[in-house]
Amino acid sequence: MSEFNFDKLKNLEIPDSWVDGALNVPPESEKAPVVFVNFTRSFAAVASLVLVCSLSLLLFFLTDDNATPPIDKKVPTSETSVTSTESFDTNNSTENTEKELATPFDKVKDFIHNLFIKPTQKPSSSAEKDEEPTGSTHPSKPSEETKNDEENSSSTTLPSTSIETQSVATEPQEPTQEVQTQPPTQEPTEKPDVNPTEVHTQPPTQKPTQKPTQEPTMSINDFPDEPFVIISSYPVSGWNSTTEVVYCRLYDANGNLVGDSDLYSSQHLAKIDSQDSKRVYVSYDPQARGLAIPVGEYSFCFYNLLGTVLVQGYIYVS
Amino acid sequence: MDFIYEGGSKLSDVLFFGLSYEQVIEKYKKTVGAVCVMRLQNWADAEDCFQNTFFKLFRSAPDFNDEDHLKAWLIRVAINECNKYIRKNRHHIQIEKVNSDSVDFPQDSVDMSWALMRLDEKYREVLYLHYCEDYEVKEIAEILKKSPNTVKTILRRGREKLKNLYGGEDV
Repeated sequence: MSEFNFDKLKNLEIPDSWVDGALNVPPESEKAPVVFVNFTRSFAAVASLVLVCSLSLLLFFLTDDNATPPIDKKVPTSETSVTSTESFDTNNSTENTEKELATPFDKVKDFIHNLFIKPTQKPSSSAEKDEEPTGSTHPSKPSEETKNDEENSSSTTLPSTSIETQSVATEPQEPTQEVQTQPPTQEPTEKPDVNPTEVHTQPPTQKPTQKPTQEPTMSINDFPDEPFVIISSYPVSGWNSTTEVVYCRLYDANGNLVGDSDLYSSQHLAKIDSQDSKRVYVSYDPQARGLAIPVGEYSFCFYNLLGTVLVQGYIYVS
Repeated sequence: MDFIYEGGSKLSDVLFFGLSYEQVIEKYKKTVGAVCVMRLQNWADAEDCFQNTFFKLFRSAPDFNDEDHLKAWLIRVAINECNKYIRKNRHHIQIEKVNSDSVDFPQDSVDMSWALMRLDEKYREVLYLHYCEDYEVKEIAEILKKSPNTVKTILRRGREKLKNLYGGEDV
């Protein structure tokens, strides 16, 4: 084992300081107590919070009526569906489209729309009437009518003078709009209101019975080829009834009254065709009252003995 | 000199197989010191490990079968303390390899301590324990927690390297 000489390492001189240091045993440092934090309550709180949030979100998404279609903005119009003996085809597509779009929810939309949006007089779409069986004297634009009716209904609560003013004020505006050949919009079963862009001259057709609405009139060159009837409807309320006398007045594009200046003369006498639980369907045959209506844009207004505007709108006679 | 340990007990009262703490230090200071110096090759670091070894002896106060057991225990603890110190200050040791406290034995044709210090630590330990402390392979294996075959292999290779160093060749 003495193959190698490691005496220097073996007999290493250890300094006395080392020994003194080894003899001076320091006190053993106390270990800090380990604090075991009880995370149980924290975990429980966090878990419950997460659970509540997740359940809330789940309920929210499950009950959220996202499928509710937005309320379409109805074109405020109180166009009366002008019926004629002939059926129109020009606006059928629109009318059909609107019909197709009509859903129970659309009725609600129309109702709400009529409540808040002032009807602008637009030519009623005769297409709506066209699509419906001819000969009907019912209004063909429920949406518009409803809208107008709603406004008129609201207006009926106002003094007659104000209503008259309102109707007068609005009517001149109506001729500026295009004739609406849109299908009826305010009918309970009808589609939304018409687009005010369509301008068609359609032969006067009889509005179908199931579509009391304001529809645009037919188009005539100078005078309508065939007589036409203005058909409209308004919602039933306490102040009107089937026995109520209804009148109708027409204003041309310049705002001039068509017919007798006496608004309660026989020339302006309209007819209540029918009434159901919700609406009153009225019609006005100017030709039958001895009025020759040339081609052009007109605004109409159905009103009662008190001067309360029941429904108003635009028509385009072509 | 009578040291008083915390708690009121005198160091002389603490016995390790018949030897007091002071007596154990006096008897095995060279062994423990040499192990620390051989392992760390630095006086300052060796001093810390030297003292920590005896501190641990005093605090743990294990029961020894005999003095050989005590000596083996001290050597093992010293080596562990040195390894712990190396692990803790590894980057310092690598950077500050040459300093004033470094242990450097002068080259001697007789004494091979300088050559031993140039070997790797695993060869140094085995060679020191074998040649300086006269431990057998089996005992070295128990102290270093290695297998006897490993110790034999290290011992053989260490000898070769040492001879190479002694012969003038770089290890």
